[in-house]
Amino acid sequence: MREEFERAVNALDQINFSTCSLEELNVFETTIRYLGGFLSAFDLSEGQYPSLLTKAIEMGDMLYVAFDTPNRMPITRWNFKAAASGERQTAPDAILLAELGSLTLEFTRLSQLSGDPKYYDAVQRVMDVFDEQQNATKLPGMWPVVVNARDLNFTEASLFTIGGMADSTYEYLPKVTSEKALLERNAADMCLAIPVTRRSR
Amino acid sequence: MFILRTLTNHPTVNPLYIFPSIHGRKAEPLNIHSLITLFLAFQTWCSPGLSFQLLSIRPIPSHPCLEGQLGAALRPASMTLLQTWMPLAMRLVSNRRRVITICFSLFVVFLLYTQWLHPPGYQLPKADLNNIHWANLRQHYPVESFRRLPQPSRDEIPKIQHDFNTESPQNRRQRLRRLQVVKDSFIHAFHGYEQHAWLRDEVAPLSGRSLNPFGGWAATLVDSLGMPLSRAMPQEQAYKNCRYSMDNGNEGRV
Repeated sequence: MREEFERAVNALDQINFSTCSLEELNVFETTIRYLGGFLSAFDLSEGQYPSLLTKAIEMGDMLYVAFDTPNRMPITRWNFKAAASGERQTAPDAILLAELGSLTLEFTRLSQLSGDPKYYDAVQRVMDVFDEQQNATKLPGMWPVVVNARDLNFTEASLFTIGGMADSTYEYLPKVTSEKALLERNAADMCLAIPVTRRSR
Repeated sequence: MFILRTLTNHPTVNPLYIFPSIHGRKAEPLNIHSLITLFLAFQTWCSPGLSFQLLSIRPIPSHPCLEGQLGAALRPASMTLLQTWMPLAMRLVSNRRRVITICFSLFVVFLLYTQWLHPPGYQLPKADLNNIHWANLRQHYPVESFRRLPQPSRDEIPKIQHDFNTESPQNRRQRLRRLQVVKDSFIHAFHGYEQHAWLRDEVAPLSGRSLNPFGGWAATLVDSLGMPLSRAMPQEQAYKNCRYSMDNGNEGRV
């Protein structure tokens, strides 16, 4: 199994984020697959492969631009080329709950490992809105499956589920809680030992 | 029917994938609604009975987004129109015309499928992002100050996992046998990906082709990076390394 991992890690250099097969990125999918993949492998290998964190930071910096909206809510289906060319963006008025609420684990961990608070800041602003709206929805305590991120109003919609398109929001809540509580102890020491993170302020 | 199913199963016309077109800033050149409508329009012209069947089985797969608030936006107006035309069209039909138009409509759908939607293996034009430095990009709405990461608490998170009894030799053998099957399956899948879709997002396991639905940055490779690592080391070590693992009460079990 170790050989498979080595082969996989060695191939990472060939991944090039400067080309993309899509016109529109799904920020949630990109976060959980790529960011989550890099970060979990970095942690599991005890930071032995700094390139994993470099890639995660590269990815995180790109995804962070999806949060550049008036109310700092992310564009979940994101036209990154328009963003890169300097167009102004606004969060959509109808986005899936899971795509908005399941970014916290990866972004929080990225802040912990890189020492740059901006990633955590980005998702925490989203969670603040979740907090404000939680008891004002039509089913207090839960959030509807389609939420209005443009007007920060989650109280109009009446379709609720803990299944697909919503589930991971609920799944992430306890996970990110323990992540915040347990992690930083070791992360800070580990982080300083890795050359790549010295670039951070 | 078969074509319809093929089309709706195709990742690029799956409702979740066309979802952006209803709230995003620009519509896609061809989405599932226009495609199905086109298909049904031809069908209606030649064979109203068949189309009626298609309509009655709800050509668009059920999807909670189609029902809630967004339902109205998603429900294509053209469908309703089509239902209005149907009785009219029924009167116009003859058998011969039916056969000709079925063939013609199949041909058109095939053409749309191959030309407008990207069939598996078709290389999408790549977006050039070479000179973009995302970290330095000027923000339109920068934040004034960053939220600070919370201080880690010194309390251990209490264990909630069940304490299993000591494992009997028989159970242990069974567990290790199962563990081996899991490992073998991973190796099999990894080698399949390596051979057929290396550095692409996904391998199509039956056809052996590859797909790039996640940007083309080797999604399978990155997503499963942790798997061989966690399987290569003893479970306890994996948990130790993975400092945020919440499963630390489950040593030795898979």
